Amino acid sequence: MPNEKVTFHQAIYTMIMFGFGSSSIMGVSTGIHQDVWVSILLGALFFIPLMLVYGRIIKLFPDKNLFQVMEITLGKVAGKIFTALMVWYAVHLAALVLHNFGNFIQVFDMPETPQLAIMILMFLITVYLARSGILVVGKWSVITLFFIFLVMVFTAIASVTQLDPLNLFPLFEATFPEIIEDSFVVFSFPFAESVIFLCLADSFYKQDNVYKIFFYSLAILVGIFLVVFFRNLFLLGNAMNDISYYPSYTAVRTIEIGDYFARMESSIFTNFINAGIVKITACFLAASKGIASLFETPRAQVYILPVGLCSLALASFLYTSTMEMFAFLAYYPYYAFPFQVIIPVAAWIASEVHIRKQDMPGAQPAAAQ
Amino acid sequence: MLTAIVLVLYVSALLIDSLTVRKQMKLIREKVVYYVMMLISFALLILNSRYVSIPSPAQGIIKVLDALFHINP
Repeated sequence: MPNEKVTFHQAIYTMIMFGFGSSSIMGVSTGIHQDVWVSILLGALFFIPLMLVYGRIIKLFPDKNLFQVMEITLGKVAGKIFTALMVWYAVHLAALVLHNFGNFIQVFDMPETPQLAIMILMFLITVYLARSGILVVGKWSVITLFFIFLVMVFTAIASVTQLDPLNLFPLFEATFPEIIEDSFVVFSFPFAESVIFLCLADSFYKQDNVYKIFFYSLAILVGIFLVVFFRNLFLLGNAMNDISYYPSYTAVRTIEIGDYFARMESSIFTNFINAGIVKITACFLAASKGIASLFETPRAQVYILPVGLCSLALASFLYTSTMEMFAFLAYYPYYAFPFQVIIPVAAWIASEVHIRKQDMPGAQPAAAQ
Repeated sequence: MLTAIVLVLYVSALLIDSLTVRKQMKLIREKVVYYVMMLISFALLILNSRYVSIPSPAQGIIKVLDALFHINP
């Protein structure tokens, strides 16, 4: 893979698109009804320390991705084990988004078409984009994020007459433990999923402030999620918002301007395609870099197609129904915790120790660096 | 029909991708990893296209997490 790099702004936009990926249609958690806005804010707050850890790893080892950092700092054996785990996570995450995509289209648009056929179309686009490199993904994100903002603002304005702000009340109906639990869900899906960018950290310019990249993307994502959540809640009300599997799609479906302008839900669908493409592509790029690192081969680009096919194969038998897919969401934060928190924190601690050893007088410089 | 789609996908992949990346793959282990992954995914997709039931890893993950944390969705 050519050592392409994304600019500061492209990195921010790509992270926003990545975070918005599945959440654009699945919404963020609705576990605590009208109080979800609190869990969005708390989830982001919980993510800040982890974001600093991610940023610190990249700062300590600029021009290196997580796989390279783990091999340098944790040693070959532990590094390879953690690399294999992160490759699995990237492949699985891509499969989850591919499955969401197939399921969503099948449920709403093409009930007779097999999910696999729908997923193959998405797979072809994402593999092509991944083969084109991270720079193209960055450019794609810059262009499509503008469209996403446009849709978000337009749907919010178009629905003004139908909004019922009273749906927000009663405030703080959920108990404190419930809010914390829900914040944990929001923390892991989607905020901490940006751990995938640690695997692509060698694509950032050395001089760019990675803390700013993470912080700006987090702040904008929180803004987007709050707008989307309030729009959905005010349009649908609590009960409908809770039972709907795809609340954004259902909410925008109800928007009507006069008698002549309706059926705006296709814009939500377009958002999902645009953002989902970035999420799947980033996962493919991360997994292929991980495999190249695992087997110590110089070219990660050659593994993009096999990685994509493995994700597609996994997505094809991941769940048998929509209910099963959403039931897994309750388990996802626990499942993803080792990948999103434990492995990066282990890599960070090992990196700090490694750097301190390097700084000691008379220390030998590491050959790998 | 699905089997045909999968077969077309793999034939196209082998013709377009494999032929182009074959020149780039200098190491034998590169080729081994590439073709093993292609083979595994092909086997899974063909089985799926023939409606053969394959155990999902999601079920395994759920069972392990249930045993560890007693999660009640």
